[in-house]
Amino acid sequence: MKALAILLALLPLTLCPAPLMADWTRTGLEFHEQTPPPDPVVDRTRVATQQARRCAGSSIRFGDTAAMRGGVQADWDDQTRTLAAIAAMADSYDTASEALAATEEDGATLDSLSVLTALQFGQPVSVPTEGLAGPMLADRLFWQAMTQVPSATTATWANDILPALDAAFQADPSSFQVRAWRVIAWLQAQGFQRASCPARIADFADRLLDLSEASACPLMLGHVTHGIDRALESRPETDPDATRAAWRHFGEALLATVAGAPEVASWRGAQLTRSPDPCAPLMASELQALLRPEAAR
Amino acid sequence: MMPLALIPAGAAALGTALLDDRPGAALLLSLKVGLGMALWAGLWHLGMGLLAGSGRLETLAASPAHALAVNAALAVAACLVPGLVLALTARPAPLGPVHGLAWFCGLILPLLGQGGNWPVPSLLLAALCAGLAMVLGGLAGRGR
Repeated sequence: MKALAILLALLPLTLCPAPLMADWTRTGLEFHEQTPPPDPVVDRTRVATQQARRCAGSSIRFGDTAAMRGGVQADWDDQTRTLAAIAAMADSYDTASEALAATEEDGATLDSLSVLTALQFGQPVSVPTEGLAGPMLADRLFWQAMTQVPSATTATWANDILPALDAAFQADPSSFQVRAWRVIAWLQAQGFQRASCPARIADFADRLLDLSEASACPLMLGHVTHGIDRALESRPETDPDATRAAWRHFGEALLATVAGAPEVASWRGAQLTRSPDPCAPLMASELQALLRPEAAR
Repeated sequence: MMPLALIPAGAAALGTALLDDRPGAALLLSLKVGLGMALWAGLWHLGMGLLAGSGRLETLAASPAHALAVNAALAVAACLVPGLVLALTARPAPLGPVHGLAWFCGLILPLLGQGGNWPVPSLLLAALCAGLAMVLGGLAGRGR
């Protein structure tokens, strides 16, 4: 019994943590090989580049059409320009469409203007894409996607709208509206995502970084997140879909990190600890890793 | 995790003891086995600390097979003293191995499994230690 008492007295010594040894580590009562740290999921290089550029401009353009973005040159005569201006300023679809029909010009640029005018007035319109490439094709694919938005289900977002927007992005990477809607479409389609958590987080993070590539300016990214909130008709805190809310918290945290607002990013990251989404812990750890160099500054 | 695991382990040991015709002897057996398991865990921790501090592990390549060998050796070495103590203080009582298993599950099993991963070497180690725990429990309940 005396021996037992002495050995039990030594018990507190065993509670001291042991140092790590080379490739070995210990967990509880087991020694085992150290697992290597996981590869970063969010592209650290892109985040650092955008943080350094902050509010500097980029090659991304904000125009509604290829012509407005400077992707194509509309070599119109004065009469066509005047009629196009009338169509743009008209407050009724009939007036606008009559003005466009009165032009003697022909071509894809004017066709695009007709399609955009119909969409802006909520008129049903077919959006052809045959024979087009580059910025013109990007516009048509974007508008095809937008025509489906009002009545889209999660399946439509995942199977039709998101692929169309991704194709538009490939056709014209300079279009800001496509980059913005790729984020919205991903959030709308996230219920259909079946890939692993690292793959989904990497995909969503790439889309967000494509968006912030236009400018990592706090004011602009604040406008963008407000625009996303309006498209989704809720704030992340009031989103009835809890898993989508988690992704929105992550998205706003990543944009805040890029824009140099680490306290906002930390707060958003903290919301993830209460999320039921299975990818939330990995999202939170990625945000913490991204914020560590910021905290050290 | 271990404090939580003590609740079902304690309940299992207590229940097993109370089922016996001589609950007093069974409860004493359960208490001795519980203390024996705690001593085993303590000596095991001590052995890990000494091995880590000696630097000898760095000469061994970190692989699952080596890890199993090291952990099993530590477990066996650490259980010798508690086994001896329990054997020397044995009083006849039934179901000693069951008490050993219950207290093993409460005191030692939560510290195995590499934090919940449970690769094959951890499973083998847990099976070995469960067997050792039942042997220790059996030693404590052997009559003279």
